[in-house]
Amino acid sequence: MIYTLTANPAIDYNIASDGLEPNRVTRTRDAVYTPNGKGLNVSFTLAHYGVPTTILGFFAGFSGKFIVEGAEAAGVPVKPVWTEGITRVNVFLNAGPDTEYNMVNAGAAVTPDDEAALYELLEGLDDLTCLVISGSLPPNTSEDFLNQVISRVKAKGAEFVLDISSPKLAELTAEGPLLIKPNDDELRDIFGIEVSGEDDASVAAAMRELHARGVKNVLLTLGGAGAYFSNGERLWFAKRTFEVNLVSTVCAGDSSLAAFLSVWHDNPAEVERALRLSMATGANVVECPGLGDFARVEEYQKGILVREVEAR
Amino acid sequence: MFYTLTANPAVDMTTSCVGLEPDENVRTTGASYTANGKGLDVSYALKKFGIDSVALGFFAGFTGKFIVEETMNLGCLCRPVWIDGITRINCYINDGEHEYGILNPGPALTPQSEEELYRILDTAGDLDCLVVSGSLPPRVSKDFLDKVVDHAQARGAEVVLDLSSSKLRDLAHKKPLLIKPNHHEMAEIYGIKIDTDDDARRALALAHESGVQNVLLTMGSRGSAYFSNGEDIWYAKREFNIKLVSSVCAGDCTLAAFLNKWFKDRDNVEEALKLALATGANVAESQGLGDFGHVDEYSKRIAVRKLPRA
Repeated sequence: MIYTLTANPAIDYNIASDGLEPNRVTRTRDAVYTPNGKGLNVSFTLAHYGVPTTILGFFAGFSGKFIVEGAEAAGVPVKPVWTEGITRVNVFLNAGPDTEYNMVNAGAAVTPDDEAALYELLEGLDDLTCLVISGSLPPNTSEDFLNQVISRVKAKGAEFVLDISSPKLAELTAEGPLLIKPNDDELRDIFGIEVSGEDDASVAAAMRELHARGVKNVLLTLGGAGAYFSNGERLWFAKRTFEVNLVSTVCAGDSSLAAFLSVWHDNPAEVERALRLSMATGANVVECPGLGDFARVEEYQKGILVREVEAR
Repeated sequence: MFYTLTANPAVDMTTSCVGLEPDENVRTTGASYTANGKGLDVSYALKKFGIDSVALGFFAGFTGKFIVEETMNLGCLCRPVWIDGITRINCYINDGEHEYGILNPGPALTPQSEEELYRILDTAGDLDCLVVSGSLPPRVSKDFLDKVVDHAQARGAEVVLDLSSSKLRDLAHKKPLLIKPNHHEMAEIYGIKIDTDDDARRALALAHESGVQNVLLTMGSRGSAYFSNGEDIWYAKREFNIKLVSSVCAGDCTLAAFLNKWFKDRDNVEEALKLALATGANVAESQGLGDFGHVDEYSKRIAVRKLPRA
């Protein structure tokens, strides 16, 4: 079974106001509370496509309980490691046209004991085939936390997927991830590689470098400009041919990854179908706050162009 | 038994950041999440004096559950009315230079949930005194507070009100046992700016005329208060300075401390005022309610005098 790891989950608290002034009370309206976490989004999207997963992560306090109960109510089991404190609440205040305040909290700190509890949990997962590791790490995480996680995964004979923005990604490529899903910004910031969606040659060179570092497969997303997938032998490019009504890109990357995995994890030969579903899912999700209901994915798949890149 | 009513409780989230700018990812640190509500504060403060009370209120969702659990963990009794939605989170963020208070109205009430609260009051066999504090949630019925007071008084219970000025004005004719306005609210209701004993005397007389039995008039950061029972007026003032940390819960705790002494011993106004001001001062020096560690010491340094009868 695929497991997802969200080390630093959050509740997203979306509210609206007319302006924000210091030293006085700002009255807000339209409160929406959403359990959030990149790994959670991957699990929820995989559940939508009929792929069972289990959620792993550090959870704390009443907000952690809300997320765990919400996931279970949505039909996705959770094996939480409970920690001290309170899972963070991130505040997104829309204070007027084009004025959004994003107050992202560091989260509840973890201890070496919490980390050990997670390692032990991983060691006991006899049905683990693949661990999808997404998002940021909580305060006080050990320097080698992800290395330790990965060594447990490998000891079980399982694969791992990385979707993290930290510089640590560069080092972890040597551990041989099954798949990484960087975007163009992360390629530049973490690996110092510049790519352009219009330039297949630059992407092919980037992919060669990533494979040489140890990555088995790469899904490179370029936002609205499309995505490339490379398995080390062949390279594909996928792009949507229609416009979307952009509402929020927050969950789009997570759901694209999950949609891709839902096809490709069990059928690695079906890259084109996986890319088509991935792009269509991402396009539908950016039109919704949160994950949305995936209602237009079927229709959108027809508008996804996939081609294999010949020039290597 | 004291009952407190918090119609619109909240989880207070307090964080800090460096520079709060729009359209950027602002990293916040040091988040604390606390159960908040003026009636709840009264219950918590009473508990610190060893007095049990029952906290009533409307609660919703995971945040409501958190507040109810925290309340019970503090050893207070709680009879929640559960409503749809999610109890609000109020955010207080300090960016190093300014403080921002981001307050939500909270989940809406329905007539059914109001009825449920009335039923709780109707069946509360041990209800001696109901303390009604704080704001009201969205879509509350116009006559909600009227009915709350009616149901409590029908049980033979006394009612204490710590509400905004307009609501106090509307409810004075119900003859509440006690109201606890501050000087700003008193000025708003009775049109008298209070600087001297004579100003206070005139405003308090108007309050009694409007129906209120007793008034505890707090003077905010001046560290003083008047109490009037309709016959006599007392003035109390602390004789020391405090290091203000947060005045958020101070008024609620002042009221709780006063009730703790005065409710069962109405002649002991002097002791009640000393404890009330000492508690308010100590709480103002703390984040939240604090530990009441200086209350005993501070009580000895509160001067109380009775005003000469006019």
